[in-house]
Amino acid sequence: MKDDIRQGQLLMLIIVVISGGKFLSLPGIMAGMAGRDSWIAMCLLFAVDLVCLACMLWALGINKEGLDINEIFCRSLTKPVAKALFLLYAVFFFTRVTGGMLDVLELVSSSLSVVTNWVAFALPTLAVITFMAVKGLRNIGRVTQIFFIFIFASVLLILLLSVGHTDFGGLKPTLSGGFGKVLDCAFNVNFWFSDGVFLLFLAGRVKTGKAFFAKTTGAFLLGAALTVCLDVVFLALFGNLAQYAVSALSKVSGFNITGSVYGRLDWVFIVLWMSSVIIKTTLFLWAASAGVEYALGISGRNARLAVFCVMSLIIIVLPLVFPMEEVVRRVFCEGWGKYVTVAAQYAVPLVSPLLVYAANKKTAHAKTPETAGDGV
Amino acid sequence: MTKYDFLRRLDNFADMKERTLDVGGTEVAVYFLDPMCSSDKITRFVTEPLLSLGRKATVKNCLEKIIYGADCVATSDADTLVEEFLDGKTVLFIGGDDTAIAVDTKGIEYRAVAEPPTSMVTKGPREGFNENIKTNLMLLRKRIKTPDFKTENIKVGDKTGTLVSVCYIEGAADKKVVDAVVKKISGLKLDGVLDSSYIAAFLDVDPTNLFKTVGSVEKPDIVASKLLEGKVAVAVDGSPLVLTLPYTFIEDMHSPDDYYYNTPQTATVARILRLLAMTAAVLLPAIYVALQVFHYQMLPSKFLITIISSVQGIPFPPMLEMLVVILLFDVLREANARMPQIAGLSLSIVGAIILGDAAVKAGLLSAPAVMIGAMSGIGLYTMPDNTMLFMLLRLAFTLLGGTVGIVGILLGAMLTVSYVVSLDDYGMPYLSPLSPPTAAGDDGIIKMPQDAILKDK
Repeated sequence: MKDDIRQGQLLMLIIVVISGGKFLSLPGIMAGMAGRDSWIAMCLLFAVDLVCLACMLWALGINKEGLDINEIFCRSLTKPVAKALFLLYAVFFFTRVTGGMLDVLELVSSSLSVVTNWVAFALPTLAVITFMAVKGLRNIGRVTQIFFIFIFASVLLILLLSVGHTDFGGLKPTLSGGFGKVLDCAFNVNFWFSDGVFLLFLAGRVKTGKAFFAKTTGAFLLGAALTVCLDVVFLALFGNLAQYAVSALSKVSGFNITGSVYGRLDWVFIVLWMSSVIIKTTLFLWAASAGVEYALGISGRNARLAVFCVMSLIIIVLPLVFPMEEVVRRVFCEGWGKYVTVAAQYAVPLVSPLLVYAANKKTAHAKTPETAGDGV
Repeated sequence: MTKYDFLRRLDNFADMKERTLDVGGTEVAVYFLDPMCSSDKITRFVTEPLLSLGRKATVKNCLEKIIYGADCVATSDADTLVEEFLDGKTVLFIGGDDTAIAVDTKGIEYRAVAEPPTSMVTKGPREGFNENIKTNLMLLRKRIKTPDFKTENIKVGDKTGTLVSVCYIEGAADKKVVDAVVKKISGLKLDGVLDSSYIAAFLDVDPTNLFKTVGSVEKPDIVASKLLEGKVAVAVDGSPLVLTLPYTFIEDMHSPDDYYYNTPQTATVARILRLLAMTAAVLLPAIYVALQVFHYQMLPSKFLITIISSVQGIPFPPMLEMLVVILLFDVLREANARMPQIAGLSLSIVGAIILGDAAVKAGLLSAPAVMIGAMSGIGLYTMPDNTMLFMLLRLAFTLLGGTVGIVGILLGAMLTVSYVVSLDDYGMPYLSPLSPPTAAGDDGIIKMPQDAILKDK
């Protein structure tokens, strides 16, 4: 049975992925770089992501032969280049999974009174994530469909219940530190964006319906708008203190209650919202595993399970050996790593229509399979 | 097969009766199983016509002109003849002919068609299936009068030779599903099939499935409606439960009252209520424990004070206390189900009032824990087909809530949902029309008016 996803599920997945995970440590880091204007940097990055998304959607639209990403890369580029690209994507998604999980642990510790160590948190969480990822894309789509309403409602409620306490005048004057700071910020945190790149791995797996391009773009814009709104509320509420916030969500949601007589209602929203991070992490783990499988040319149920298990094990072990947050910041946000991942984040998505066109043309001319691996 | 071969095959059959008749100078040997046959039918359909013949009897004229039985077969095959005999037919050997006649003279007593105790309705048809497959098929046939209503009969069980009938409506049912079901049942190598649950276990595409993926129904009107929806029904002789498949989770949430008694609006509210009750039944004890152990700040202060004053002096930690309450309830339920009805009533009183009240008064259990345990226990029965599984899930979630807190409950919920949505037996997603939405969406949780549902089909 083909591991595919329906258009409706994809729309929900995009909203969940775009907004999920971006409201943990990132707003604080961005506020440290660009102050109260960091929301503009976020808008800029979303604008760039939108262009990439448009290109990827175009690519999916012209993929008439229904080729998957492995076939597209192998037929439009060469096998070695395809393998290198898949390795790069595997590293990109893998790092995002690790970073995302560390952020969630921080959120749990800082807001839900469950102070625990990394292993005790990562083991059950990764067990669930691996289980969901092993079941495939179709399963991720269906789980998203079930949880979407809760995630969306929790984000909206966190936003609406905090807006009443927010003085948006605190965001003025805009761009007082100059536009350069905003650009610098955008340049240094771009690694944590480009979530839509997973769409490339959906080539040949998504059932496109009516107005696919418009609906998907709309979903992206809705997800981006929710994230920016939350960031704006966060910055307006905390002003210069925003940069010290370890988890923006727990800070903003703290304003969802007016007194102890109502209990910490916000924790309910946080827990429900957390499912979006788990779904996003699952999707990225699935994409990372697909990257590894294509790069190494392995296939089969057991091999896939082995890849997932090994990756999960590495995710658990790495933060025990290295200070992963620091490593990711130094390598992928400020160091050489970001120049490498630019290919995965921007270059490939931007040229994806050309790649798909070339691969489709080649397939139409000669229907001979020429792939690096056997496919996921 | 001669009479002697037949008798050799059926050696030591104390309940087999034999009668020899002289029909126009021909010896006719009549054999039947006393407990399975009606002597009245034998007299009227077999012996009386034979004795009044007055001329030489042959297999041909007996079959065509003399025997009155509606279901008559002539065969020389030993296995077929023995099978027919054991099925309650009377066997006739005429003269020295190798071919014998089997006449249907079955006189087996069956339970009357009555309202099944597990599927009672406020208003609507009250007929229920019984243990006779013929009666069950009749109950379906009288509701679906179309030549498209097909049945395929298969005998299963080397020792029991149980008749299994696969029913479907041609054009409505997916032929692939019908073929898959027939193939699975035909391929069964079993000694005996005593109930439809024997077959259900083999119809599960993945036998390791935790959730029930084959439906079982006791009411013909429900099976008829499922057949009209394009599902396949499997009736098994000796069982009052007819299997239906593909089966989805949402079906357990439906009640016959939704169609006969409730309006679409009230049916929708009832279904939402059932879903909420089931979710609460599984999660409420876990949330209560997690709140007490990890996240007491989530409780409004007045509520928190009430709980704190109730749990003061309780010797058990919150998780253990809840597990004790849950297990106590489950033990009572299990004992209640197996006790005679009169004793069961006393047990309920003893369990609910004396045990619960005494435990609270003795300070062993807190009143909120008993209340939540009881609410959860009752809630489980809103979806009766999966009660036992939800009971296990409730236990697992309570352990998660007590050890990992609300994050554990979230992870458990995601794991469960991920597992359930991955079930895809016979091409029907188990959680449809919730995820993914399907054509059956008009009759999922939200019930559309009946004409809209029928128009879609």
